[in-house]
Amino acid sequence: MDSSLVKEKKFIKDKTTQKNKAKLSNITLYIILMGLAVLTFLPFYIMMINATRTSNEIATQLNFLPGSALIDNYRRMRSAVDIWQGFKNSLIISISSTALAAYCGALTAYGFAKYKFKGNKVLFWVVLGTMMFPAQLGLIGFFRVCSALNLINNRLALILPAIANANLVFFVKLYIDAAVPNEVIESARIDGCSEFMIFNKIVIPMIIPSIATMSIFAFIQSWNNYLIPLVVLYDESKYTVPILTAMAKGVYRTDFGAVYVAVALSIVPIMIAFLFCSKYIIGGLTAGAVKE
Amino acid sequence: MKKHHLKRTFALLMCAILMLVMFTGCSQPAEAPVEEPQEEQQEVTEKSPEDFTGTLTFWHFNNDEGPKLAEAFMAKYPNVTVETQITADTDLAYQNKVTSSIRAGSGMPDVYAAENAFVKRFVNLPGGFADLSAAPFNAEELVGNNIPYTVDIGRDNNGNIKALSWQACPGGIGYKRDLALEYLGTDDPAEITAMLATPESIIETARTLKEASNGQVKLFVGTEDLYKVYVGSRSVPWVQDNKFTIDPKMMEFLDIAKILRDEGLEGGIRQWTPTWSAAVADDEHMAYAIPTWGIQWIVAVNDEENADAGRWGIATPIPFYEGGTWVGVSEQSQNKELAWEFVKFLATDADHLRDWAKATGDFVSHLDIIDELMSDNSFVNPTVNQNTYQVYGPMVYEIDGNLITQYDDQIRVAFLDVLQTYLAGNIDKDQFLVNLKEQVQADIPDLIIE
Amino acid sequence: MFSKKIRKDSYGYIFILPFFIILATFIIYPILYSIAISFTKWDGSIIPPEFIGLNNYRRLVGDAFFLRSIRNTWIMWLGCIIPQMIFGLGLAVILSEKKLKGKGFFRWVYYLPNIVTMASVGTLVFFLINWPHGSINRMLMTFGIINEPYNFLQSTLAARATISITLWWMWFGYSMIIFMAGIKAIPEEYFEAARVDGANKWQIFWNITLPCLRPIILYQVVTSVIGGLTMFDVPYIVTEARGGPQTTTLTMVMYLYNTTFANYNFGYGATIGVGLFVLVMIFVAIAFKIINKNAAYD
Repeated sequence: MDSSLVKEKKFIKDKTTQKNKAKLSNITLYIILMGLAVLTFLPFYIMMINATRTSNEIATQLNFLPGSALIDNYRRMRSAVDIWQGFKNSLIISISSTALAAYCGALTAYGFAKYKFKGNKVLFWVVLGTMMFPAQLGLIGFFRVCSALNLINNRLALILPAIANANLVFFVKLYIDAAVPNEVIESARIDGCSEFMIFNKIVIPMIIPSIATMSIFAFIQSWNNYLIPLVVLYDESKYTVPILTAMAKGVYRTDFGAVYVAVALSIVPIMIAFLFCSKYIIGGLTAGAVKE
Repeated sequence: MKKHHLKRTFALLMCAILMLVMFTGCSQPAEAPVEEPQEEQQEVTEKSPEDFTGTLTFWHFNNDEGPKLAEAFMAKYPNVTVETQITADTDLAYQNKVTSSIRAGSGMPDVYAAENAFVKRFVNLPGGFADLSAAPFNAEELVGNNIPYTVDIGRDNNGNIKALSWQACPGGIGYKRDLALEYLGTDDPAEITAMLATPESIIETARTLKEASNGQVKLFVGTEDLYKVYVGSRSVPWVQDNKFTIDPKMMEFLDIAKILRDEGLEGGIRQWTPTWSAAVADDEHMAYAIPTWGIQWIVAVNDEENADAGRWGIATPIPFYEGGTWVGVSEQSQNKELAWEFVKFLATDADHLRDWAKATGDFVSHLDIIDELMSDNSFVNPTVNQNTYQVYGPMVYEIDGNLITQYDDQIRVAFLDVLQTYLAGNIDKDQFLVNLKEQVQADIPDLIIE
Repeated sequence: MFSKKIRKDSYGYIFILPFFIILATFIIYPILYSIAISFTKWDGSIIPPEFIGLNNYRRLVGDAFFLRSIRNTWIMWLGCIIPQMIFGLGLAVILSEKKLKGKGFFRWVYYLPNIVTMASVGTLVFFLINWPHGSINRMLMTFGIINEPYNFLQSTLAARATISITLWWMWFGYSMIIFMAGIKAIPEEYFEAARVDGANKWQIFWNITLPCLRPIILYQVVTSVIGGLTMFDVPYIVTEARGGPQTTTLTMVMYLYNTTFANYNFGYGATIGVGLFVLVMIFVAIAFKIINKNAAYD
């Protein structure tokens, strides 16, 4: 009896010192985290400030306060390129390629993870192997394929290849290995679900966090893609945002006011979208449910 | 088992490679563009501009120039539509697009442009520009009024004309008159020309300027501006009989550049950087290398407030040239007659060229128009307060079009890169030559380098 | 029963089919094409490639620029990956704590650099370190730290450090997110059991989190070896394509790119690509060996 009381008291005391200690370490932690956050955000801040400065100011000084040239810069940028059409193009390409890459990639990952077909290992190594080839090198052959398939100057040339996202397959397969037990699939089979239904109805919800995470990367990769659109698209009305951003620069003189407006316009929407999605995406559905 | 597997995979791979090699080996353009004998025998009645109908596609790399060229043509040829597609050459994008479309055998426009930096390569690309010296174009008969050097640059290695230009780009040294007057005692182009005529006088002038301004004002914005002058005034091309040669002028440049850098007589700003553009409007850097088009595209656009104030002057101590755009008809064009009409119009139509010169300030490549504008004292460029045709005109005959080779741009990039290291004091002159040759050899393995 | 299992397993082929059709068309064919081209001399024009056997490969093994580029790439990659993994893992563990306030914000802000186009980052860095008028030089001179502008791109150490730091800045948030996703996948019961046993945070980290993250760490190292050895955009833009000073920041892909697209040596460019491919394969294999050593494979 007695001893248990003492124990309890000691426990309470321990808890308070622990709390204080935790508080102190939390403050240090916050300072470090904030410092890193400032360092991370600074270039974005400079970029946004520069969008409001004249090209001369950008070239000759480091600006920390907004200037008054935003509207001028915007006008010059608009007269050089049709950025809103570019947004439309970029959205069409990025959204459709991300959706295709996510679904086909997850399907492939599932195929590799849960079906022991002949050649499984070899084919998976092929997937890994293709990750190791620099994209710049494949460019010549890629152009050849596109012209043979009549895909030059066609958005499909940017959407279809996105399906072959080896990175996504690799990651989602790792996730499936860890998060989808064979028993779940077996019991679904016993319940009479078809293979596709198992994947669509049971597996996908279980692996949503990994698909969502990789989808952000796929989307951003597609959104930022510069080299390939540049090579396959000819028509200015089909150009994507990164190309138009580079075009806003002008030829003789680098109009950095206009470029920064274009860059800011292309980044800020992603920043905001990510701000709203990140909780949902990283928080995940199943994982969250299990943990609470 | 596993070994077997590997073997089989390997065998398959080898087969695939072999097939590919064979495939690429055989995939010559079977559809070699058939030159249609375009109604040569018809009566030679000249078609009037209204008679031309149809649509042309036109590729250009410059948003400021491309659309204007198309507009000018459409104004005179009301029934023709020119669709201009612009791809800037950032990261060689324009060049890669053209090269890959030529290689693919489809997708090329009817007419496309080439900049001085890559025109020599373009005119020598098989399957690219059509041979304009041949029938039905017979360009040789039409270029009598063009400045010879611009025609020569548009020739391929066999001497056939592949592309034409409407502009000549001789260059001078542009300087800020107010700074010259204050610190050098004169802003007269002739006197400034004399002050910059020899390497010794360049250094002397730079020192005078530094002392008079208490170190505030530097003669050149950067060494690369002086590089342009020197490169344009060589007498030996970079590559002769497939051998890499360094003109003695360039060694002279190396010495001057080093003195300028070490004594703080130049701004150290590399060309085409934003700092370089911004310095146009400042009071610290006096001189830039200014070719004909530079008055508009280097000076005026970067100092809009003073664009019409005659703040600048052009001195001409050493004749050189820089830049220029050429256009030609694509081999792949289905409408070569109309495409040729467009090219012909841009490069040889006297009325158009007169209008173009007046509208853009360009120095056009048409001897009659040059004479006309040289003697027109009212034709004064407000940015420099000089008649640019009088300034640059005498130089056009001194420029040697055979000085440029298809390797110039690669060598320029290598030279300027090693130059930075040399000027920073990290290597000496001998090492400079070693590094330069090593780099050029790596970039262009086929050259003989001693 | 047995035959049913086989039939089920052949569904795997159907599932991976769309992926492989695209992979074969848009990735494997171009790669094979490049391999074929690597045995030729070709300027990229319509003049067909000329078969020259192993000449390109002979040149490659003795090519001082290529060897230098391998070294450069490794040095800059290591300068980036080590802090990247440490920061990524540390932040992931910290931000996975439920108690921390504002973790959503931190997660967001750390990941931001990864959404910008590499080209924009490169351009910004290029301005910041520019000589003699770049912002960093201006700042250092205003604060009296230096008297003369410092030419970052003419010092090997400064140039490489600039590139490593830039890449670290871009990628540590990415690592963090991947690690966080990995931590999410660890069953909560493991942690609970450890806590019941009285383990402290360090013990949990070493004995639960880290071992469970093994596949994720492997994934990170593998993708980062691949990404690192194919490093291109940032050094390309910051050094204006040249890999200066004196090619000490020239990476393998930069060399490949310059050889192919700036110097029109398509054959040799492809050979460099094959060499790069082989090197990456070797290092990925080594990474697998090291990390999976002693790992209980199920």
